[in-house]
Amino acid sequence: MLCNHAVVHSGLLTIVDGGITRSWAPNLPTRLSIWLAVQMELEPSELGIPHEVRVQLVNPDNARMAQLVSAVQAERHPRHEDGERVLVPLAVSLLPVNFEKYGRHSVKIMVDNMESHVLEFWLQHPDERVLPPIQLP
Amino acid sequence: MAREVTLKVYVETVGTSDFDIVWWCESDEVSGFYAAASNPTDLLQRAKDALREVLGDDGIEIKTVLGDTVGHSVPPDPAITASRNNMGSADVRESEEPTLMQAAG
Repeated sequence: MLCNHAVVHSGLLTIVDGGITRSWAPNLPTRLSIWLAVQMELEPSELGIPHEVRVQLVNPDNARMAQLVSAVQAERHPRHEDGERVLVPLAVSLLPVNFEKYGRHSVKIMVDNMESHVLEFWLQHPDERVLPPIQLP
Repeated sequence: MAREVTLKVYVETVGTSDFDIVWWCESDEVSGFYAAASNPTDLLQRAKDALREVLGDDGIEIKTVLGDTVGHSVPPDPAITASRNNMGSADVRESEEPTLMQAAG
């Protein structure tokens, strides 16, 4: 999910203000203080070998804006039960990415070249923000 | 008994295309060994085949360890440069925990 902040510590994922679907910017290009929080689940057969994790940002014109490529490897631990899946948390900051267009953006997450998940969010001008009508006494 | 060879595995990108993702590995136990591929599955297969040829041994057990350095990429635009330098949070933990490394381009 997209959130205001995410951090991985001691194998645990902390998410602050998760579930972002809108962000507003008065001018473009702009940078957004948004984080991507990911929890991967690896099968026992997927332990001990590297896996490729790609995060692609796609703009409203369906053009790729940025791509992050990560390597992830998890090991089996004696405390794991037979058949237990291993959770691998990831926290990715989108702050370095330049956003140049308003509209729907996609965040595609791919593991070993297979599309695993797609998130969407909208970058809008503040004028597009729908505010509740002012109630005068 | 199978001979165990440890490979240090790295991934990096040299551009924005999927074709620009490079996986490569080296081994301290086999001097000068180097293998590269476009994905980790092909890399391990290629490394295993090459080691079998070099060591003349069918019983090779490959152990992988993710390398901890990134940084030969030459991203084509400032946004990607920023991504490579700052996007994401590298996380290296105890050996029994998952380890991560990353590069962007």
